[in-house]
Amino acid sequence: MDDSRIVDLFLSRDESAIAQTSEKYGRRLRSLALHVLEDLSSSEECENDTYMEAWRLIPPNEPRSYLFPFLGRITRHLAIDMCKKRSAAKRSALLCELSDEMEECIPSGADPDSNVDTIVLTDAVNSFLKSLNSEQRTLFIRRYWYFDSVTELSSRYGWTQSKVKTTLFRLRERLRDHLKKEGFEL
Amino acid sequence: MSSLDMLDLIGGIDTAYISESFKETTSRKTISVQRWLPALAACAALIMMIPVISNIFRNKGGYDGPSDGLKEIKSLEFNGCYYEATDVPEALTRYGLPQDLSPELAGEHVSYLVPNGAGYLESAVKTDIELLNYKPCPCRGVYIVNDQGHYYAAVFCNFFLMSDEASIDLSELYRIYGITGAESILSVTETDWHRNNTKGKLVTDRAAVEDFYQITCSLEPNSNSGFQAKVFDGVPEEEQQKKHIAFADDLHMIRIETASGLMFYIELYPNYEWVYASGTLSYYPASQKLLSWAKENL
Repeated sequence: MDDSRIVDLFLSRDESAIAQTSEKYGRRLRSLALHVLEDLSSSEECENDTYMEAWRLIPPNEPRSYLFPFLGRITRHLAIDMCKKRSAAKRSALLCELSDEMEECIPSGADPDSNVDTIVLTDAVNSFLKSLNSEQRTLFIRRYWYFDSVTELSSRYGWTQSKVKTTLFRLRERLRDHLKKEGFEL
Repeated sequence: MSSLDMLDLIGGIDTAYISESFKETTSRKTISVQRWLPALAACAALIMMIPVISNIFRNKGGYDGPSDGLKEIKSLEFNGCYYEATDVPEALTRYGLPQDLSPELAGEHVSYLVPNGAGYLESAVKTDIELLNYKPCPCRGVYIVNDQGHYYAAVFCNFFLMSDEASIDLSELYRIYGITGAESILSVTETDWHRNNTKGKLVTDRAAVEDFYQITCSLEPNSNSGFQAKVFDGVPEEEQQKKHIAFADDLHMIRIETASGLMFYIELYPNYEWVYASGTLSYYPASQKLLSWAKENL
């Protein structure tokens, strides 16, 4: 079923919207959560919570042409939130890796408790992504939005793991410089 | 901000980028390409033959119907608003646009665009995709996209709200369609939920239209979270879904037609005394004046 029809089902409060969404995107959403949670039952919980949240958010939202990004955003947020509640020792290896890498994007001397306008910061990240070529942008998003591992990226791009790591490192450096230039003190 | 917050924040990036990466699923391994090159060349030759073969059959009278054309919707984020570029006839009709999107409908140049995943992005440099004003009614409610000779209508969907706490006056929605006074509104009527057929009276009486405009402009905007708190907070979890369905069932779709023929919609929930506009993603408590107006006129 196409996304627009699924959204129509949500809008008319038809419960089959959830079954249709699960059929089309369930596996991908679960896998997105599984990457950071490394625990099948928590991932399934995350997936189910995503449907509940989508039910609550549609309407007013009508993500006809961006249903997967819309659902994925929710899943990501729920999964990260779940991880935040876990102690650092219980976090997945991939999340620890991603978290360390993100640390490098935050300009040095930044106050970890500072209140940053997240909307403005997201805009800055968007403008950073816009400045990248398609390949760099896709690599960055696959790593930090879809949580792909270096091995997966290496196989996807046909690059050596070392090239993937180096490219990601340079992209993180560029993001840090971009944010610094935009005046962010995170 | 912690690194996990930063990772969470990346979740909010532009949907077009996410879609772009979603589609990027094929492996880009180059090592084995040479090995398969002869086979690929043969496939390419076959694919190139398809239009030739199909034309041969068409010319023999095998198929003489209309072209299917592109039946897709592409997203566009432009000037703080979200648009959907489409040439789907049913969608065009809903917004009061002609079904045949000819070059004559294209007005002045607005911007250049680049394809981006499932949609378009604004481009700082000249490209072969152009965003143009809608000539019959240049406004932010609709633009024309000329994608290498194929024309789409980019129809306004909603403002980008910075958070769940934000809300926008209904008068801002009117402004999107160039409405600055009741004289810019041709008619108000009720349609079915799918916005396809009118089901109420067509209100064209000037005094009634003037009242409608004034009343709706004075409605107090509420954010989504404010609305949720007022209507659904305190409802036990097991009854939440039932209450949401009852609310949805109370929907009365109101179509507003501008003097230039464009159409847009707001939703009235009379029993719950709320109005919702998908264009502003905001809710408005329906005043008694509005409820009486709807009862008398629609």
